[in-house]
Amino acid sequence: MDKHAFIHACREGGQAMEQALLALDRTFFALLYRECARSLRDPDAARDLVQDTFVKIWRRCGTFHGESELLPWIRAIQRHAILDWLRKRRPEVPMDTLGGELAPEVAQRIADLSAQSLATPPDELRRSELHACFQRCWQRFEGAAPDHAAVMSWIVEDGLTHEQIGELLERTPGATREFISQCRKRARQHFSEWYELAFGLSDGNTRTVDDA
Amino acid sequence: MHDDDALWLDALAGRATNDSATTREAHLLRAALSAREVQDLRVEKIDPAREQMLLARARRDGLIAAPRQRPQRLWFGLAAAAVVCLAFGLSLVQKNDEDAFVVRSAQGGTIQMTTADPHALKLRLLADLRAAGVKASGYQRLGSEGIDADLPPVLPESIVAVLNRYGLTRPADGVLRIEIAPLPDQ
Repeated sequence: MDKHAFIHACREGGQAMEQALLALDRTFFALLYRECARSLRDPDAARDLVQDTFVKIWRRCGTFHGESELLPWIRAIQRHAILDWLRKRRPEVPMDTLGGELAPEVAQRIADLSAQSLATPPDELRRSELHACFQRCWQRFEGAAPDHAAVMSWIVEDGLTHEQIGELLERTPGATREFISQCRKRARQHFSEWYELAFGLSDGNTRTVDDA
Repeated sequence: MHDDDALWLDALAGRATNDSATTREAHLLRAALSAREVQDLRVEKIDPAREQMLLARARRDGLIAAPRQRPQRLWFGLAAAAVVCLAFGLSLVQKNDEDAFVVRSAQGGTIQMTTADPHALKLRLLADLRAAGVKASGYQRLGSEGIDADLPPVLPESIVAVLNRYGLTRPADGVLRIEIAPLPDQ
């Protein structure tokens, strides 16, 4: 389904809307569902949430004027819904109240590693080890800070800018800056083990910036 | 946001240009996140059950109107009634074919009946008479089925109804004798 057909159905309503609703499902469900299931880690909830998204899309169809393609607009609506869902399940906890707050020395350690070392090109064994370590860290991160994890995924996937993140979060620029800063801090906290491994210190394989 | 965090965001989003500790940290994370294994969830592109759920949800939320059910229901009802009538008619015809009987005569006070299945008719008639309160007994003799029954002096409606249903006349002596023979061509 393209945006012109969508706008037309929105204006027509009735049977056209019903047909368009089915077309939306057939065109976008699989894609939206996969993204949603990844963030929610709950396939059944993801299915419901995508259907919620379709309903919300029709409630707001009058606000879509075709400036962008349909998918990014739909995605933004779904991502709002995902963040709402995640926050309801696990309200955001300020960094300074976290029991396992990132120790300053860990943050410094990662900063030092990044400054002094380059990631070692991994051989097959290290690649597998790194991969497993990352998966472990990511799971912990998703569990502890699901909304930060979701937003970071979307930043990587779609190259979100500061402004786009602000719109997504419905926050002021200042609050958005704070959120991004927290993403980085929380990532350092949960990925410290992986950073160590990635920069090659565990097998004495570290390459300094000067060596490179 | 510190400039450092802004740089980190740009690098994570794939926009960073310079090489620094911050961008290396973010690039590493970006590469790992991009390569992250994602469970491949199988999803049907077209799923009628899912579509019905979606439409039901949209109707419940008042987005779309309920389907115009009246004509559909009417047609469905008519069709269903036609099917029922046809089935009933067929069964009736079949039933009549199988259960048809003829009351031929009442020679010597014995009512002669013929039918395709004398035994079945005997059992049915016996059951109906007994259900109406008549003491009736069945027998089989020389290839024919028979029923003897004593009727009360005053016939209640239930017995009259059975007699009428089978086309039987009330015997003068109050003893109902029936012989049921097979149809001549059987």
